Amino acid sequence: MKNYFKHFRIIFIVVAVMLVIFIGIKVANGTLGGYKRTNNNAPAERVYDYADKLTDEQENKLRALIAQKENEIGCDIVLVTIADPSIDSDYAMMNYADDFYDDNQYGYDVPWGDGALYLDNWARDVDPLADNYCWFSTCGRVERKYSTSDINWLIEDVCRTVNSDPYGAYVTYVNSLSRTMSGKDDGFPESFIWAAAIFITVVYIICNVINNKGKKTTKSDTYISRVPHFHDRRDIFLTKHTTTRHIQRSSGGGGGGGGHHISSGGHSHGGGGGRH
Amino acid sequence: MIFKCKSCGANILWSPEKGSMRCPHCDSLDTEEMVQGDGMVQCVSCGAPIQPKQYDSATKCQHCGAYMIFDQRISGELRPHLILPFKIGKEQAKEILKKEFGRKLFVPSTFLKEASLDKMEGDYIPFFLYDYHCRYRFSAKAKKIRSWTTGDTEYTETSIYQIFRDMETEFSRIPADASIAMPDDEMDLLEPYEYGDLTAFDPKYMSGFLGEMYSIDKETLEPRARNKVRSDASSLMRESISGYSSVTPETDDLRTDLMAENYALLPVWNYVFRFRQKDYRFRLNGQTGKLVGRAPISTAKMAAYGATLFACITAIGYLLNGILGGI
Repeated sequence: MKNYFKHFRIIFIVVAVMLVIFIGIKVANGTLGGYKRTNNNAPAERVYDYADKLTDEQENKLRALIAQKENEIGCDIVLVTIADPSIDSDYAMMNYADDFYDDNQYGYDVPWGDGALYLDNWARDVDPLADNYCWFSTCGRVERKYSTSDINWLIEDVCRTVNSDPYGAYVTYVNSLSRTMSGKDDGFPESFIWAAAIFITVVYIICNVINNKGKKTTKSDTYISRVPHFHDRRDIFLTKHTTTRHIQRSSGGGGGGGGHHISSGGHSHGGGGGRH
Repeated sequence: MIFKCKSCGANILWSPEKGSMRCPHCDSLDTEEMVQGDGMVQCVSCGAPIQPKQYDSATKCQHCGAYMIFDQRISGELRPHLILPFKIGKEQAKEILKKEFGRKLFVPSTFLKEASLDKMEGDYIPFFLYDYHCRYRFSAKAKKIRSWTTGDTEYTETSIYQIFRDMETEFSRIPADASIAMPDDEMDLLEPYEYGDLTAFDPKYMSGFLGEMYSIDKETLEPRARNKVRSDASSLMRESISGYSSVTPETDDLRTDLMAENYALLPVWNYVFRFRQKDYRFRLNGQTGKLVGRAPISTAKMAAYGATLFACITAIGYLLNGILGGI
């Protein structure tokens, strides 16, 4: 038992230190016992289904899910569906979403604070020639957390199923936002952690089980009593020839980018949009 | 026969640490006198019956612990020419085992316990030592291949050489164990012994140890030693041919002539550890301390250590994710 603790003392210390840091961060963020809402200016409503894509039951289930996730991540989660062919560009969607957020003074901590809004414009329901735009508007902590690629991932996830299953797609929006904000999308994927633990454990066991019987420690000259004498030792060059081969060459390349903006209300927002 | 202390009459033993005969009872040095026994049926010291095995030349009385040497198995044709006295004592042998296996995580906890290690016995193993004269004639075609690239073209140049070698050398005291009880591979791994300490056979060196007479004759063993010589000579020849990408032999004529052979006793410490109905055998070169043997594995220990490491790594992974997510 003594050897056991001696052997694992460093790794035990590492785990203990990390646990202390983890708890320290939770305490510093005030999230050890969950988040506490401090903005009472915003309305209680989170689901505005103006395009009528959800049933009442689905709306209520979505409100319940949003309430639970908001408490876990400390961010407002808002969903707005409209059907307005006049809002027919990413820029117009961005303005609509930002203004909606600002006008309602959303933000979990303060007005115009931590939160996100997903705006879905079902314009094609009114005008068959119109495009269905969507926009994901972020603010506060969500804005700082979400990179351009994170926003694109979320929009792609939602748009993948929104036409066939709007409710399922909006649940995906809430869950994806919650996962990212809780840090579950950061660091290593769970499968990676398990795979790494299994791999390291297997290697550790193999290294400790491998047990050579013994190493050969004699060499070819161990038992020599007279230094080898060479009566003949010649290397005679005979001939040489050269062959050639043509080498095929190839080349390749890549690129990418993203940014933030100030809404008409003067508040900083991030976000991105797409079509479905 | 048995060696007794002239001062106190106790069984005096060869001390590897002192390099002389030492009485464990009165601590006298080199006060031995040889006492002849009466055959191989009873202990010279206490008279208790003894039952030596077929090839035992020295044994320990199970009753009084005295070490006896059987004169008829170390005389005449059976008398060794040479002996390499133990230089590693029992305590030092135990320390070597502890040092080697003490850091192994999965060995059973009883493996290095004093009670287990006390069963370790020193044993003089019979060997024949062979001397050879060697003449090796070798010729071959060899290639040197060199590649380089200029622009989009890769060039490969192949140079061909004719190689001639004629080597003469001598090998001395190639050991081959003459005990049917000892596995050849383990005895080979115990090599090399430092022959500078070889001395003319004297039975006093056997006092305090077990011993065997040869159970395989020198003619039967000789091909084993010759194979070792051929292998070593081939290695020496290969070492003399370097810098080539490939070598294709044309003449490969190795002649080995036996010049002499000697019958010798070489020192080995034996430790047998029984674990889960299986015997694990360890041999230790009684002169150099080189150890040969595979330690047993305790599956319970392996599971406990593996599970702990797995749990810790998983915990570190999740904590790291939690910390990264919280910052």
